[in-house]
Amino acid sequence: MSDNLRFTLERSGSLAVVGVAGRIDSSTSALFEEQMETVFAEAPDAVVIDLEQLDYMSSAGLRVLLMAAKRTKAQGQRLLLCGLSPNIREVFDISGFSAIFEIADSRSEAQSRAQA
Amino acid sequence: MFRSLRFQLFLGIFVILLGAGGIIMVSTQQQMEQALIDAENRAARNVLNLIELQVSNRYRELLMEKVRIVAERRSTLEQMGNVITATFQAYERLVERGYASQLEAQSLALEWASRMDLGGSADAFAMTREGHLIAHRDRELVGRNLGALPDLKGRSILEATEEGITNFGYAYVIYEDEVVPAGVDDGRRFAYFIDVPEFDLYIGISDRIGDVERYVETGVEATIEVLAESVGQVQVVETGFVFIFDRDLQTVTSPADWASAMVGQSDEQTGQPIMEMFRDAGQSGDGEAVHYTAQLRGGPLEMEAYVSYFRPLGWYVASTVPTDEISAPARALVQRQVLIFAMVLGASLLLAWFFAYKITGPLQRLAAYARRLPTQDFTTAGEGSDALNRLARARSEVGGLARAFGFMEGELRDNIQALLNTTREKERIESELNIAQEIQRGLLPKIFPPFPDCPQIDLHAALYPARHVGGDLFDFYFLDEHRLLFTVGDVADKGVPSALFMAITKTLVKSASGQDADPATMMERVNNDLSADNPSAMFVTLLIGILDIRTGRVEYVNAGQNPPILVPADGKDPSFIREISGPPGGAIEGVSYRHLSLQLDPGDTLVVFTDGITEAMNPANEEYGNDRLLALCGQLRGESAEQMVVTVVEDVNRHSGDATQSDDITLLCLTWQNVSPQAAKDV
Repeated sequence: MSDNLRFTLERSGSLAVVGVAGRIDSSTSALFEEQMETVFAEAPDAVVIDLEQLDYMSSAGLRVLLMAAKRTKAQGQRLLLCGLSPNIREVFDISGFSAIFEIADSRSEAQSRAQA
Repeated sequence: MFRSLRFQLFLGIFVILLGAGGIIMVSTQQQMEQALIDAENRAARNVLNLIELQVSNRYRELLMEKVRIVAERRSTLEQMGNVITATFQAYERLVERGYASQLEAQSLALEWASRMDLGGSADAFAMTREGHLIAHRDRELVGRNLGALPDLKGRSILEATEEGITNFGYAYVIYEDEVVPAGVDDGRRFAYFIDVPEFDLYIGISDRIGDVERYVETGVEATIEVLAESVGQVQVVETGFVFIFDRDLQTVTSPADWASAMVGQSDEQTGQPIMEMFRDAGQSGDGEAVHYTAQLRGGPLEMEAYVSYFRPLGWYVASTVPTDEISAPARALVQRQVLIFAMVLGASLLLAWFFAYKITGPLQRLAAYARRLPTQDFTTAGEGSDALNRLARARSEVGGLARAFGFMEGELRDNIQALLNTTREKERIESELNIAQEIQRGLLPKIFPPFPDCPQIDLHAALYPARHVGGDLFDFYFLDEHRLLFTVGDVADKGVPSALFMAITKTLVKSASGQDADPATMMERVNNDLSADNPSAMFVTLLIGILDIRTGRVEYVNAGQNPPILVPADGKDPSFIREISGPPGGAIEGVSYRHLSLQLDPGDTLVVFTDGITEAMNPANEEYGNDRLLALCGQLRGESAEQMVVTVVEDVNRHSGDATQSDDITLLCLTWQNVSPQAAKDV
C-alpha cells in the first residue's frame, strides 16, 4: 500500500465504515478502487466512507466514488460520505457531485443515518 | 607494463635470485680471498722456514767442523806441550844428579826449545813470569813483552795465562799478534800455556787460527753460493721471490732481476727505506706481513713480504710478492663464479618469464575477452568464446574467473534480450501513443487567431496533456453568423481511457450543437449519451457557452467544470463565476441541467480553465491555487487573449519547476468587443 494513501476498515453488522487518509490522484486511485472491491466483497447493507483524513482528491478519485455510488444504487445498498474537509467539499460542490452523493457531517451521523 | 602482474612476478624472482646470488658471491669472494691469502702466506713462510733450516743446517755443520779442527789443533798443542814439559823435566834431572848446574840446564833447555821446529805455523816459546819472551824460534822476538798484549777478551795475555794455570794447570788464550810473518794477513793466534815451575817460567805453544776461520768462511761462501742459486730458483706465486741480506742491509743473495731496484727505494706511504722495514719486521719476529709500495714495473706496485732473521749469520731472509698476485686467483674464481651465476640468472629469468606468462597469460586473454565483450552483438544467443571456454576448463582460480565471465555474459545476453523485448514493446506503445497524440491534436482547433475577420472577439486557447494523450478538451466554432460556441472539458483521470472519452465527448457536443441552440439541452443530450453505457463510471466536467457577438450575452451550462473567471474591463477585481448547472457529463443519466447566462461588457474577458492549472504542484507539493490565478488574471487585464494564455501557462510552469506535470492543462481566454463589423472594417 502506498504511503500516500492509507485505509481503515471497520465492520459492524452489515455496515462497513471505510476511513481514507492521504491523497487520491491518478497514481493512487487504483488502490482506492481495490479497497472498495474489498469492502463490497462482504456485501454490506450500507457503506460509510469517512474522508476526514483525506488531503486531496482528484477527478480519478471522484470516478471511483461514482462507481461505488452506481454500484450501491444498483444493488439497493446505501452509500454515505462523511468528514469532508472544506477543500474536498469544494471539489464536490464545483463538480456538482454534492448532488449525487449522500453526505453527512460526521461519522456518527453517517452511521446512524445508514442504519436508520 | 611495470604495474602488470607478470612484471611484478618477474621482478620478484629477479630480486630474489640476484639477492641470493649477490650474497653468495660476496661471501664466497671474501672467504676465498682470505683462504688464498692464508695459503700464500703459509707457502711464503714455509719457503722462509725451509731456507732458514737449510742455512742453519749448513751453519751447524760448519761449526761442528770448526770445533773438530780446533779440538784437533788443541790436542796437537797439548801433545807438544807435554813433549816440552818432559824434555824440561829431563834437563831438571841433570841438575838433580849434578851433571849440570841450574843455570846450565835452563840455558840448554831454552836453547833446545828455540831450535824446536813444530812444523807449519806453530811456534813454541818460553815466557818469564813477567811476560817477556826468553826463548823463541825467531830469535829476534826474544825479549819481547808478549804478556802485555791483550787477548780477545781484552785482558792481558799474562793475566789470562795466570788465571788459567791457577784454575786448571794450563791456559788457552786467543790473541791477535802484532808481528805478522810476510804473506800472512791474519795475525790471530791460539796459544796453549803450561807452567814450568822448575825454571820459573811459562812454556807456550801457539798456532795461527786464521786458517781455521778461513776454512769456515770458505764453507760459508760455498753455502751462500748454493743458497744464492737455490734461493734464486724459489718462486713465490707468479713473480714473487726470496732474497737474503745481512745486518748491514747488504744483499747476500740478490732479489729477482725485475725487482732489484727496490733495494735502494723507500716505501711510498711511510717514506721508510724498504730494507729497514724488512729488517724491523725480521727483528720483531712476529711473522706479520710487511706491506709496502715500491716503484717497480714502471709504476707504484703494492707488495707484501715476510722476513725472518737468522741470528748466527746475521742474515735476514725475505720472501716478497706483489699483493695483486695473492688475491688474483680469488678474483679469477669470483669472475668465473659471476659468469656462471649470470648464465644461471639468465636461464632462471627466462624460466621466470615463462612461468609469469603462464600465470598472467590467461588473465590477459580474459581481459582481452572482456574488452571485446561490449562490441559483441547481444541480441543473438551467444555461443561463447572459444578462448573463454578453454580457460573455463582450468581448475585454477583463473578458471573460476573465466566461468564467472561466461556466466556474466550469459546473464547479460538474457537481460539484454529481455530489455530489447521490453524496449520494442515500449517503442511500439510509444509509437502508437505518438500517433494517438497526433490524432488528438488534430481534434483541437489549431489556427490562431481563429477569426481574423471578426473584430468582436479575441480568442486564444492552449492544451498541454500530462502524458502523450489527455482527457482535457476545448473547442469553438460559429453556430451561425452571430453566435460563437465555445467549450472546455476535463475527463476524469488522464491517459488513454480519458483521451478516448474526450474524443467521444467532443463529437457528442458537436453533434448536439447541430440540433439545438440551447446549451442546457445540448448538455442533457451529451450527458445521456455518455451515461448510457458507462461501466467504468468515466465522466467529464464540461462548460458549453454560446456568445452572441452582437450583444456580448453568453448563454452557458457548467457541468462540474472549474468556475470560469471574469476579468471586467472596467477595472473591478476579477472573480469566479460559481453557479453550476449540474453534475459532470456521464455521471448520472437523465439529469436536467440549469441554464445559466452572463452579460459581458465590451472588453471583458472570460477565462475558462481546467483543474490542471490550479492544482499544478510544485516539488514541495504546493498547489498553484485559485488566488494566484485570479491575481495574475487581474494583472493581465487589457492584454491580448494570446498574451494572457501564454503568460498564465508560463507562470504555472514556473511554479511547477522540476515537478512532473500531474494533470492535463487547458486554458481558454475570450475577450468581447462591442464593434459592428462595419466599424471594424473602418478601423
